[in-house]
Amino acid sequence: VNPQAPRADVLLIGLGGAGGIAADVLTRAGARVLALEAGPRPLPASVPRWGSAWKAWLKANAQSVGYLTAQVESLSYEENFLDLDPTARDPFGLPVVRVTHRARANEQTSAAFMIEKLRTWLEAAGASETWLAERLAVEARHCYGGTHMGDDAEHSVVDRFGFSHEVPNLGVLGTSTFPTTGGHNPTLTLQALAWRTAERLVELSRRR
Amino acid sequence: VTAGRLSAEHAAILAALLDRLIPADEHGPGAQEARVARYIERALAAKHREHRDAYFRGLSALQASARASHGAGFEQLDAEAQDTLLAATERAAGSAAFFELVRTHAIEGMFGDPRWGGNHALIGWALLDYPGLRTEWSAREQQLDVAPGPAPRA
Repeated sequence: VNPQAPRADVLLIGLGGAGGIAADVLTRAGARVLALEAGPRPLPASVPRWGSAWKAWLKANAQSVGYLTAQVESLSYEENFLDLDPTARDPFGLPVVRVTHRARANEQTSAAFMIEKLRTWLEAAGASETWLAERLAVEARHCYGGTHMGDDAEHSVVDRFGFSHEVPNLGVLGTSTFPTTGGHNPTLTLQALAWRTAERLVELSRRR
Repeated sequence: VTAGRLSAEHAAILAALLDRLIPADEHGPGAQEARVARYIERALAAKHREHRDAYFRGLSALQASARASHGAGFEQLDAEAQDTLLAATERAAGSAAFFELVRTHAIEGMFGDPRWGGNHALIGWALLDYPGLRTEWSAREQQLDVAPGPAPRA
């Protein structure tokens, strides 16, 4: 660490929907924010991936490449689920969670629709060339589901107050209770649900 | 190769390989000037320790194919022959992963923070016109028609 370098008060890694908002609020409040953003940025198919021609493209374009991403709602399907991996273990020897997920027709159709919208926006903004990332990603940053909320104990894990159908004094807070992903950041909704769970807990304890 | 540095032979092959991935040319200095190999050697002794074996096997295989096709070491071939071998390495199922590994590490060494041993004299950032991380931007630097200079470095 260079002791002469300007110091930041806050280091933000990742400037997505959450990091970007935090950076905005913190800088307005006078904090010095150091923002780190990194990730693979695919090249257009016409550009070589190494050598002089690649370098020339980087030099000419590195400051004028932008990207857009869209989140589409992922519906609940019984075939998409979490369970314990039969073989993989974490460093403590415990089985890790295995994610079984496949984008269905609804998700693929809405993604295709959004891709065309994004392309239209970029071109309207003056983009000379647009290209797609190599693959559509299942977002690992905004995780939802796993303990779905519902009235039916057969098809959900927690009830409408966030308490487990199976273990009634176990409450679950967070977006794991959301049956589907929204298009927007879920913090306000998850906080409202946490409030609701806490109130329910108080109410139940008073009844005793 | 479970401990210590790459052998002199492997280091020479790696340097030649990096020279072809990011050559010095009319667009500016390349991997050699940015000391990308130094970054990779340091990383293989630290964070990228688990990739040492892949380097050992990948560089050995590249050398073997250079000797088989040209009767000389990879580092002794001309640029065109090296590029042909590298393109084959990039394509072939058995070596594509090694090629991607080195390419990824070359990008890290070229464009990462110089504190990790590469991007010497900010050569990588200069290529991208990237001024470096900074915590403040003056009002003037935020004008659309003003190109920011490099970040102040003590």
